[in-house]
Amino acid sequence: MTNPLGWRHAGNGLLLVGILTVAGLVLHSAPDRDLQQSAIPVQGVLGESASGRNIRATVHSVAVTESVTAGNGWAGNTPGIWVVADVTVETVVDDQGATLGTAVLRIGDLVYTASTRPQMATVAGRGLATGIPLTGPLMFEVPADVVSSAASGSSTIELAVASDPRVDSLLVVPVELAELPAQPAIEVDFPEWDAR
Amino acid sequence: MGRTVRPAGWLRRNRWALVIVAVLLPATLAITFSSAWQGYFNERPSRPVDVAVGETVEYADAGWRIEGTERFDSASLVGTERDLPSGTELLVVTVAVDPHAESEPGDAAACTARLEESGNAVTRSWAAVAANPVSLDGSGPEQKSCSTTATAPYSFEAEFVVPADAGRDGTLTLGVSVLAELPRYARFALD
Repeated sequence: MTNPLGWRHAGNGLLLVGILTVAGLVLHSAPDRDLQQSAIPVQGVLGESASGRNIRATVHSVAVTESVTAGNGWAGNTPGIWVVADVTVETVVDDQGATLGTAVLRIGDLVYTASTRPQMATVAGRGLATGIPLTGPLMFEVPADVVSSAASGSSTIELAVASDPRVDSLLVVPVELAELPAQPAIEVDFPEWDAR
Repeated sequence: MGRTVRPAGWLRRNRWALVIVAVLLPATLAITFSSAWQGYFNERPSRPVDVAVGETVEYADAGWRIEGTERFDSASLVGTERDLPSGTELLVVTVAVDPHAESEPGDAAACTARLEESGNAVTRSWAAVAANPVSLDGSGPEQKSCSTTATAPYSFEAEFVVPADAGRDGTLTLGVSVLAELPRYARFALD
């Protein structure tokens, strides 16, 4: 004859093992703190507008050049090479504390922040306005061999409001750098507001 | 046939403990998060005091009323004088302030004015020209924000650079907040 109490104990034991197993699975598959707080990527396309929570931007074009002259006359000479992007940026929701704080060029595992040396002649770090696009250049100073290396096949330009883009939208626009011929010199316009 | 006495079920035996857990668990979570939640909303303008067009509101020891709203596009005389970016408009709201007689000179606190557009999928807002990245030519009106010294009635003109479509589909309101009054702020309907 079966013992009902024995079956019950066995059932409880199985239940406990089940709960522990589920708890273990949850614990090991739950996102860690870095992942919980990571930026929310929004994939963009070169030449097309991409929108996140409080940022809308278009990367119009990318050029590689040995020297760049900004709209305020600043001339960027470098022992490396310049990657110059023409971008349009605006905020979507509000302008409180909104600057283009994150403007980086990611080549493989290497990250280059847009130069603020041209000061007001670059869009990097400039204040952004709600619904009023600011169009201008971003200049990235990069070692020449990095651009020509194979890794530059997987390059992206990443844009976000605020210098710390965690738990907010990060626009990620893939760019092809390896195919671009290095121009000897280019001139870029001063950033301009235009809501037409 | 005699009834057999069956032991009460697990749920029934533990019902009071379960009720207590059901009450205490949400209560604990609420207490844990409420202070951070409230702190976040208490330090920013989050509780609007709505004011209809033409009405006066008592806020921060003064009476406030909207005298009028004007819009200038970038092709207008004002727009070209101030070098307004194309596709944008300059929205000027005149606010009449009546500081109450009992306030001493210097008592009045600085205020922050923000323009808000609601009623669309996203609520958009703009800071006044002084705190806005779009810089304009010329100096604009003399009194652009609240006076911290005035004891007599005065008015100021809050200027905003907005895209031309601002307020086309949504409703525009002007939010005026004084630090000491937060989270309350006066939200004026604009005509």
